[in-house]
Amino acid sequence: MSAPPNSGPETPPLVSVAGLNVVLPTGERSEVEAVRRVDLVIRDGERVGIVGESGSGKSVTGRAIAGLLPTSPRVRVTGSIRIAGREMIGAPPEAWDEIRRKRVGMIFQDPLTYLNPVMRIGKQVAESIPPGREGDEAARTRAVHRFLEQAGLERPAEVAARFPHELSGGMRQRVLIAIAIAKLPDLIIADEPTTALDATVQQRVLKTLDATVSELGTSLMLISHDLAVVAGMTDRIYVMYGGRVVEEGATEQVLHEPKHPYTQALLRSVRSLADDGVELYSIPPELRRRLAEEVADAS
Amino acid sequence: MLLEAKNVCKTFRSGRRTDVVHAVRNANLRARPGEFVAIVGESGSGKSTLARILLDLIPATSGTVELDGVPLGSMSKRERTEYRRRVQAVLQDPAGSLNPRKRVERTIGEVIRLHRIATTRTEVRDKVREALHLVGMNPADEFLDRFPHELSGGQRQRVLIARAIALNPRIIVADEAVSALDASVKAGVLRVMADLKDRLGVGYVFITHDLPVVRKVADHVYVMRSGEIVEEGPKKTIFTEPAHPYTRTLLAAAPVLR
Repeated sequence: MSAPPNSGPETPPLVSVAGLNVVLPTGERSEVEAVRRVDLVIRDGERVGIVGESGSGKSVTGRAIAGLLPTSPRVRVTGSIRIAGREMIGAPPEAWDEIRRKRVGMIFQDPLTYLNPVMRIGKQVAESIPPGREGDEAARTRAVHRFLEQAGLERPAEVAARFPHELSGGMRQRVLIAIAIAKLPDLIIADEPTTALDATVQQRVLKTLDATVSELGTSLMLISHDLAVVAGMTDRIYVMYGGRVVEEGATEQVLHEPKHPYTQALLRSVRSLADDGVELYSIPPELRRRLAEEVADAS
Repeated sequence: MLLEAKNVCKTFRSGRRTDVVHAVRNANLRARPGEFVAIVGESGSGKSTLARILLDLIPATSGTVELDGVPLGSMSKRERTEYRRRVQAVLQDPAGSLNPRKRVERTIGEVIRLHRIATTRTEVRDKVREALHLVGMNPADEFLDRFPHELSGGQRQRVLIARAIALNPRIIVADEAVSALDASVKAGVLRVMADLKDRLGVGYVFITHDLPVVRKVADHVYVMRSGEIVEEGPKKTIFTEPAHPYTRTLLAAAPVLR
């Protein structure tokens, strides 16, 4: 992989994940290896997509990078996550706070679980601005309005005065974008940001995310089961299955010349749902069995 | 057989006494066995309310739902029960539609007993097996004793279809039945549905916001917006020569992988 023009060879990539394993409890005595030996790199200003089906480990990988996995002794994270060169596995909670406050913003599928239902929108965006960055109260309020506007919300002053339940789904998702960009982060991790939205709203929210990320030069990690969404938004894709990365490459290349049998089958299935005169195709059980073996062998 | 909604309106009172929400306005719709009818629209378009009216789960405020010209309201109790057998529901969230404490056999067996499709234990079990077989859950015996949490999302959705199909319905009203599924699983469930149409002549009223899926499987399409059916026609016409601007907006917004 060649070094991007904006960083010399000695500058570490923004995010560098190596041999990441995440084990999550699934019951009293059972657990699952949700992420297995994942290697992943996100460079400054790069847009990276993580695609996979439910249970592929894509969301867990995103949460691990944001330091948002539950803190329980039964959740075991091993391997290496370096953010701007700093090793974060085993780092103290304060170090993660610093990362989440200033470097990484997150956008989730369901904004209602993330937003505080009894706090006005404006305050929630303001809380995302590091103390002292914007100066006095008035400057902060102006900044809040600016971020809301940047996230595509017209009449920001009005929106700032509202509570989450008073907004539509699309507006709430824009509020999450505003909260994420208010940190002026190096990276935005968007996990299924538009999956719950209507297609017409989805299209507009994605355009906004696209525009804000470009404007701020922020790196983007877009996690989705929807290949069509990821295709239009990213430079590079990781395809995950059973906790493993099975294929990685430039978005165009992965979509048009997939190498791994799983990627090929997944694309065939997605296209079979949209294309005329093609029989509906689902990934055959034999392939899934083979993949399960492959995944087990590799870990 | 013809299932028909005639000038169906549904209003809900919201919050204060004076506020009235017109969830469905003057909707006319026809569905037949062997035909794949789709209702497309975004959230709040009234498509799910119309589905619930067709399923006789809620009454229309005005207008009628008729089966072969007989309005629901003038049916005898027996005819009404028969209506509810012939017009079955498959809803979006299989986890929410399945009782987590009931095994697959009991989930499907119960409705078979309720509608007296079969009565003895072995007969019921055979019917359950047959239904599972029809939705491609083979070998059926492997699934009889499973609880919902022991099934994948696609399998749960198939169990719901099996429960509906066990009653030999003529029309299945499916409300966002495949929307939450991964592409591959979605393709599998849709294939099962298309297969049941071909083999048993089941008809569908398929409610969804997913246009590519409609384009793939539907015969006839209704487009709803703010409670109103704004456009209706054969699939081909809707997708190649959409007349209403809203239909054009919807078509342009659907994300498609090149």
